[in-house]
This record gives sequence, structure tokens and C-alpha cells, in this order.
Amino acid sequence: MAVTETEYGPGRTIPHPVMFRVLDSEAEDTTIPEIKVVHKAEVAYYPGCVDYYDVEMQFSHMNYGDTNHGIIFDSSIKLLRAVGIEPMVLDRSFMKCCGHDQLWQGKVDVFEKMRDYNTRIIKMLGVKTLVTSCAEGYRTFRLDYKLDGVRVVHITQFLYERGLRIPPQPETARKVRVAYQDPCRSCRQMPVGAVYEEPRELIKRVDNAELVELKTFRADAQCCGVAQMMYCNDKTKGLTRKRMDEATEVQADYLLTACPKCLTHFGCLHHENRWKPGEERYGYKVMDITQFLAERLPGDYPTGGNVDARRKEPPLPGRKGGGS
Amino acid sequence: MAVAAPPPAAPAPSDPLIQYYRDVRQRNLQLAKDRYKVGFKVRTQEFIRGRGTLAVVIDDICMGCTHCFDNCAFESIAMVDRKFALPEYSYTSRKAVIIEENCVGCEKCAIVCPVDAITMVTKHGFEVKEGRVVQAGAPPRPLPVAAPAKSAAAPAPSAGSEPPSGDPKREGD
Repeated sequence: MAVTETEYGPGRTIPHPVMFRVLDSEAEDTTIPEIKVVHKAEVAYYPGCVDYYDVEMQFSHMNYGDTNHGIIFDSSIKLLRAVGIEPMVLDRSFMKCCGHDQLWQGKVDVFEKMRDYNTRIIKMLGVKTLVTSCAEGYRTFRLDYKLDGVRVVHITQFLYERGLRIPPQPETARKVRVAYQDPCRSCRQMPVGAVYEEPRELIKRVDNAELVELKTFRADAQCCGVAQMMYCNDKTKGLTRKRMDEATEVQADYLLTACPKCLTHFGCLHHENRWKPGEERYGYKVMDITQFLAERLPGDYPTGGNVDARRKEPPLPGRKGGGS
Repeated sequence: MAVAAPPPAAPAPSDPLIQYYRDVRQRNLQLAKDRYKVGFKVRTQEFIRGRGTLAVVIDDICMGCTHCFDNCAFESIAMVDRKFALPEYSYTSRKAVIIEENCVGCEKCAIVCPVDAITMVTKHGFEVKEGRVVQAGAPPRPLPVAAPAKSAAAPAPSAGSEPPSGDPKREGD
């Protein structure tokens, strides 16, 4: 990295969060470890960097405890089991980051290292279908990797074609209005295999959920504000706010997205605007679509969930963290 | 529908699959935390001690737009009025001034400056070596991590009092 560090350009000028250091340093070591996969299957699930987002958010005090990214992992496993699939988990102990951020920041050499490594592992394990719950991972694996013979699907596509059924909700459950944000990476930036229909169809299968469209949707959908974790300033916050105000306009109860990064940025602003408990600017919940669907299924999370005692009472935003 | 379907799966890790998912999950959570520990340290050190660089304003170019003033996270930029005298007339103009005690060298002001009036220089005791800022007198970057740590420690005390492990750049990446 010392030699390849660019002196100018985006790779240099943008102050990176710790996460980029961590992910970049993963690419340094490309020796393949000894992989002991307890459960081998042709369907593999790639969770992506969700745990890293959680730690990053905690470290930068952005929205600690408010947005739970790790639940995407738990929910995806639960949903895949509900459609009769026991996936093999391509977890981060032997996989690397898919390299999306590195590629889009111009660190192509880092990306290529990750791509070659991941491709080798995927071929080695004999994966036939690669399910990812991350819009960026979906795009990267499908377009930027050359995975011949491996079918890359987004989890909403997979659940849709396997016919996920959400059991009828209890009588007491009230009707909820659900808005869906189309992530740019899985929708308008995909020349083939854009995921427009499947998440909407899945939301419609929840019987007490009513799908409402935001002001801009599908290929027109406005960005959540930030591409990847590139930069955060008042301009990007303004974009995020504009998008979240659209959800307020349609009186949504849930703002769903299929991309963990969208979830990060929405969750950040959602947390910031919760100034006092009853004075929220945004009255709806922001969550991933997998979490929304998995909450409507009976049963517990097979992975046990990421239980963190401190998560139960998220601190209010501000320097004091809401204390006193 | 579920192949192995014990819906109340919480107290029953008897299913090897559920045990597998649980193990993977916990391992991943721990892995993310462990890998972050290195990053925490580097970033904290950078913020406390600075990167070894310092911002410098070139008065001739600065037009007093206050972009850097607005963007500095460490309150290390002040805007002052300066008097200038030309042969024909004199005038005052607003210029940015770096408060050097507060500057950590994050480069943010240099990035936002629209006329590139801010440059970064190395602080006292630092120098640019192989394209990166290192402490002056520090031994060259060891190629393998473990082996030359002892051999490189020998010439280090003569040049700088800092131990070689104190350089945040080399721990970082």
C-alpha cells in the first residue's frame, strides 16, 4: 500500500473511516487459510461487511445502538431456512470484502487482489448459487467479478423465486405503510438483473403491510445521499434528509432498503433527529428488508442474534450521549 | 418447509446446523471487533499526536473565503484582517491564519481551499521519506514485520528518542 498510495485524487483527499483501513489491510494477505466448513452446500450466503459497519458506527459514535446491521445476517439465515435452504455461510474468517468500495474509490489494485482471492475461494468450495444480502455485493459479484458457472442473486430475488410465504399476521397487528428505497447498486446501476419487482412482491406478501411508493422510485429513485462510505458532510446529509422527508410525506411506518449502506446513512440521520424521546423528526422505522420479513416469520433467529446488552437503550445523540 | 424445523430454536443447539450458524455468527462478530482494534489505535494516535504535518497559509493567494475556517474540526484556523500597503494605496484584507498548537495536519483545510492557498509541511522532527511522513531519524520501514524489529532498534536510539514502535504510520497499514 505504501507504493500504490496515490498522491492525489479521491483515494488521497477523502478522509477515510477506520473501516477502509481494516478492509484494505485484509487484501494484503492473500494466502488461503485452511478452511473448515462444517456444512457444505451448493447455495452459499455471503453476509458482507455488516459486522464491520456496526463496529464502525460504534466507534464514530454515529448511531450506536440505533441501527443494527448485524441483524441482516441473522434475518437472512432465518429467511433462507424458511424457504428450505440450508446455506453455507461464506463468512469473513476466510473470505475478504467484495471490494466494492475499493473499486469505486479507484483503488483498483486492492480490488483486484480481493477479487482474485474471493474468486479462488468460491471456486474451491464449489458454490453454485451465491446469495448476498447486500446490494453492493450483488453488483460487484455479478458485474465486476468473473464468476463463470456461479449464479449470483440478491436475497430478495432468491426468496421470491423460492416462493417465500409470510404466514398471516395476528389479528391485533395493525396495518403498516411500508416504503421501499431502491438502492442504486442493485437497481438503476445494474444493466442486467436489476432488482425492482422482487422486494416489492415480497413486501406485498405481508398481509398487514401496504406498499407505498416514495416520490421517486424504481429507476428514478433518489440516492440515499452517500455512495458507499465515501464522504459525509452537509450536502450529503441534505440529500439523505430529502429522501427521508419523502417517506414522511407518504406517511410511511417503515422505510425499507436492501442495502446496508443505505441503512447506515438513513439510520444515522434518523438517530440524529431523535432529539428527545417524543420529538422525533422521523416517526418511522428504518430497517433492512430482510429484517422486516424475518420479523414477520415465526420462530427465533437460528444464529442467536447479536445480543448486546448495551443495545437495548440507545443513547440520544449529542456529546453527552443523552446522559443526564 | 424448513428441512430441519425446530421453530423454538433458542435453547436447542442439538441441531448441528443451528450450531454451525451460531458458531459462524459469533466468530464473525468477534472477528470484526478484533480487526478493528488495530484501526482504533492508529486513528486515535493520529488525532491526539497529529500526523506530523502542519498547514501553512500562503497570504498572497488566500482570499479570505473562510471555507477552511468553517471546515476545521480542531478550531485551529482564525480569520484575521491584515493591512497591506502598495505604492499607490493601502488596504486591509481578511486572511486565514493557522493556530499551530491546534493543527493536527488532517489536510481538510487544504482540501476545501478553492484557490489552493494552503499547503502541508512537515512538523519539526518529521520528514518525508519514500512518499510518506515519518519521524526524523526513524529507521527505514522493515520489510518483514518480526525479524528486523530487533536489528532496527540498534541504530534508532542515536537518532531519535522515540522508540520505533511509536510511529503511527508504520503500525497503520
